[in-house]
Amino acid sequence: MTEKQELTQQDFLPVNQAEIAQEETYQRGAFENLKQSFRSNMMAKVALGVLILLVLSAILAPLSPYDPDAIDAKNKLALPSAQHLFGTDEMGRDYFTRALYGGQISLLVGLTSMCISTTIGVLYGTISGYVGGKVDTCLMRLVDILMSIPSFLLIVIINTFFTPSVTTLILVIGMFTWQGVARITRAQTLSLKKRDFILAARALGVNHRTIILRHIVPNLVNQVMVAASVTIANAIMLESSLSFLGYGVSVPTASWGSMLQSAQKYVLDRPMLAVFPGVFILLTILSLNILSDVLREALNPKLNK
Amino acid sequence: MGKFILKRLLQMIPVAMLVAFFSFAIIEIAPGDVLMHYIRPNMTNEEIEELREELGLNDGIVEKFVGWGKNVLQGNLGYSLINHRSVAAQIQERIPATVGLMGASLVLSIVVSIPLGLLSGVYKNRWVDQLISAISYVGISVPSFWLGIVLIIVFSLKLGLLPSMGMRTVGVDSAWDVIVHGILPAIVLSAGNTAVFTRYIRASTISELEEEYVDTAKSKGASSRRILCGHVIKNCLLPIITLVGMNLSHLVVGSFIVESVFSWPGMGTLGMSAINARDYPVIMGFTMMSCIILMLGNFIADILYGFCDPRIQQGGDRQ
Repeated sequence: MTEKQELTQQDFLPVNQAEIAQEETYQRGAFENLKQSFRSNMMAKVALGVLILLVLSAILAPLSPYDPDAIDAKNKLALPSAQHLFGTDEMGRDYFTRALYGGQISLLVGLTSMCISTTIGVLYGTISGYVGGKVDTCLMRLVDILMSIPSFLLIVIINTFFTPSVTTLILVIGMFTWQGVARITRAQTLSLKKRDFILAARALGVNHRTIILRHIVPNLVNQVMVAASVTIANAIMLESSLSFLGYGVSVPTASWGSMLQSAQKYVLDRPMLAVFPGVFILLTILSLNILSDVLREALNPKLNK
Repeated sequence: MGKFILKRLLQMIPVAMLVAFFSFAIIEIAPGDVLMHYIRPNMTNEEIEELREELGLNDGIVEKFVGWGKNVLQGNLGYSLINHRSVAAQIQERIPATVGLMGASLVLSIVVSIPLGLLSGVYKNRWVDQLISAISYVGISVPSFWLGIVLIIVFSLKLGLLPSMGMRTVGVDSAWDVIVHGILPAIVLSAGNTAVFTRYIRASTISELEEEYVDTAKSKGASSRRILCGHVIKNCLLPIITLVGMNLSHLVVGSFIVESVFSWPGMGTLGMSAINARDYPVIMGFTMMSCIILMLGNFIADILYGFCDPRIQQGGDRQ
């Protein structure tokens, strides 16, 4: 700090204006950056549009005239038509309606298990980073060890001990996918806790819990948002893989994965039945991945040269 | 180097312990009485009690764990509840198919991703790069089981070019037959990794091209081809070793899914059918074996990386 500092434009403005200018550059850090990258990135716009469309169609699924579980024996494996947009499945159920309801399950599992895993990860990471020392070493070693066992395997095996249902699926996925978030938040906490405002808070006698929840966690929002968007994509992929293998959502509830599982048997006669749910999964995960990259670039500009 | 390997081996102990506890827990928590599988109708109560003692079912949890550990270390993983065959023997039968599939797909990913990544990095933001980036986005996002089904529809059902399931045609026993059966599974299994590797190689090519040694080589009059193939590529290939290590779990998990789509007779199909049948000893063996494959793979990747980049070893030793 002893070196002569370079003069910038701000130094020539009156004091309060300089402050305003600084505030503006600060604000541009998050949302302006995000808006900017959306404006310039065609792919991001399309991805956001697709995702909104998918979410809306899942929410509005009850508007469909068909019951997703209503069996119509006369109309088995019908071809796509004006009445049945995607045709019907092996039990005569309207495939389009089932795909919409399947979206509800897949998106619900993705979102809620993300909430669980992010909460666990953020708390674990901040506590580990904040406490530091031996506790930190132990907690992080545990994360390393947990990361060296594939969570998919854990989830499949743990699922065999429960009756499969959407709730257990959400809980199990949420409880075994938090390690990445924990690592990221811990690294961030380590650098945050040395900052002046945390020191000031401690000097004022604020207790540790308040410091973590009020001062550290809000500063993690950017990193956590990026990590969370990846977590949703992974959770949806996990759910559909599990349901495809028959360890996830059980019949007759539709989920994209379980629809693919039953469609696999009719691949000879009606290959389209296997194509539709997969396209939905692909579109969801693809747009989530694109958006998480956009988020990453906009929220952590330093990471991207 | 010896120190580095030793340190790495020591690090594996806690992981191995956790895997052992977890596997033991599978057997312990498993519902139902194991004894039921050994009782014959004409046994007397005394004989049943004797059997119970013999099988160690009356022991405490610690004794059970020690006994189980001893058996596992001697290669005895117990017997299947369904077909009463030795778990170790069943796994041994299945391992070549799985490891072969994983190896083939890994080689495929590396061979495809290196040229794609370099091309993409060199022509940054041009149409070639955009095309490759778009494809790799799809590659990362596509669910492998669905890709498998789509490829089966196209190449097996519509075009009739490749077999859709199994590893061998009945009655045919040739390496070529296995290769033909393995093409589709290997492609599906490699898709995700290829996309991930391509993106990393692209990123490292871009950052390497900004390095000063590239300018030096340019100023000496080296052709851009020479710079790329002689200098840049070496520095880009190193991270691949770490990447392979990091993505091994995708490979292991992916192989289970791909195997069940293509009915490939490997560990995955064994494990999945065991899970469906709640055949706990087989589930236990399958879990342990998968984790061991993963641990060994990570170990080999780290050691290889240490060989290729001595800085890693030194860093590791100093800590």
